[in-house]
Amino acid sequence: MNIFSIFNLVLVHPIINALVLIYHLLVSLHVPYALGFSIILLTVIIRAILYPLIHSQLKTSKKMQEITPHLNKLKEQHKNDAAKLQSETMRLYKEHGVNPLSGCLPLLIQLPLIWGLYGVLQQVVKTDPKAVLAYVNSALYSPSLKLTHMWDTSFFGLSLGQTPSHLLSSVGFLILLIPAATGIFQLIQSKMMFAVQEDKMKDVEKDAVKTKNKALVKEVKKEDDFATAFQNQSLYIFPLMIAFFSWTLPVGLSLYWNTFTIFGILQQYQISGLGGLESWIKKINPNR
Amino acid sequence: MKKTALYLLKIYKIFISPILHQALGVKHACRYLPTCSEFAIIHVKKDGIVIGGFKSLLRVLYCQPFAPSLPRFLKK
Repeated sequence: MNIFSIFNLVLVHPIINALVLIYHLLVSLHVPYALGFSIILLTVIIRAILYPLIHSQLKTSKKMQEITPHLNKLKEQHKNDAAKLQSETMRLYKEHGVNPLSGCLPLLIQLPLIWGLYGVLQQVVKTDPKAVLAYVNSALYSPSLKLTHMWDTSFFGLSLGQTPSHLLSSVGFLILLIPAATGIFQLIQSKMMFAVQEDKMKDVEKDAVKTKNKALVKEVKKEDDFATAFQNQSLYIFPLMIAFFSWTLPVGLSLYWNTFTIFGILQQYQISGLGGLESWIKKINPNR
Repeated sequence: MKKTALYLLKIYKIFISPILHQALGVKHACRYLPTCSEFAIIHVKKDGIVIGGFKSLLRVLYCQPFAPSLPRFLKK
């Protein structure tokens, strides 16, 4: 048994079964565009399963951002005494009710799940009926779930299996709205989590200049190196990458990624409000 | 070999990590400081790829809520 068959057994097959089950349910309820809505529903269910993992992380993240200026001051005050810095940091955490972050491993669990869902959807939205039926039916747990005929891959007039780049000639320039929307949703989510940190850093810098703390100014400036520059630019680079993928991959996958991102935006809003997006909204509407 | 590993670690830290954070929708994920990629760079430089790499891998495995407190040799 190789790694791919384990991946299929543990992730891919359960995802296919869940998708087909939702599809049958929607068809029995006479919901139009059942495949498209099954993709949306399955993504929401998976996001809901991941909800607690991200929720605690986002909450701690928000508190961490709030205490960053204090933390930087502590770092400066006790830069030669690691033990003191550690105990003072712990005291600060306790004072502000911050639990240490749950770490990256719980977050990384998401990656195979995102990848598995992507792999399944890439197969099931294909336009060749024989290939889709063979792929789906071979993975089902119960014969009662079997698909007897090819599902309808259209969704509000668009074929979920076609890429926007192919649809350009038949649909026209309106199809550009799909990669554009995918990129914009991603940008909104990234901006919500990004710029608050950036603004806080500026606060620390201003504070340091005001108190004539030269060492702290130097430290803050040092942060402004290439890595930080790329990190700030990645706010735009990642959404552009996603928009490009959305342009070259089947529409069904954009539907999945947009559902995934919109859920993320709502979860982020619920915990930390508009976050970094607020500065953009203020620029557009200064009276807000 | 060591140089290549250090380059790869730096590429991860500068280019891949910020993208990964955005894909997962979380800005902060590091439980410990220095972060694991910084720790890996320091220890691959100091102890070589095998020992430095092993220490770094152990440290990543400690980055979860059920882990006991970080042993001294993985602290910095």
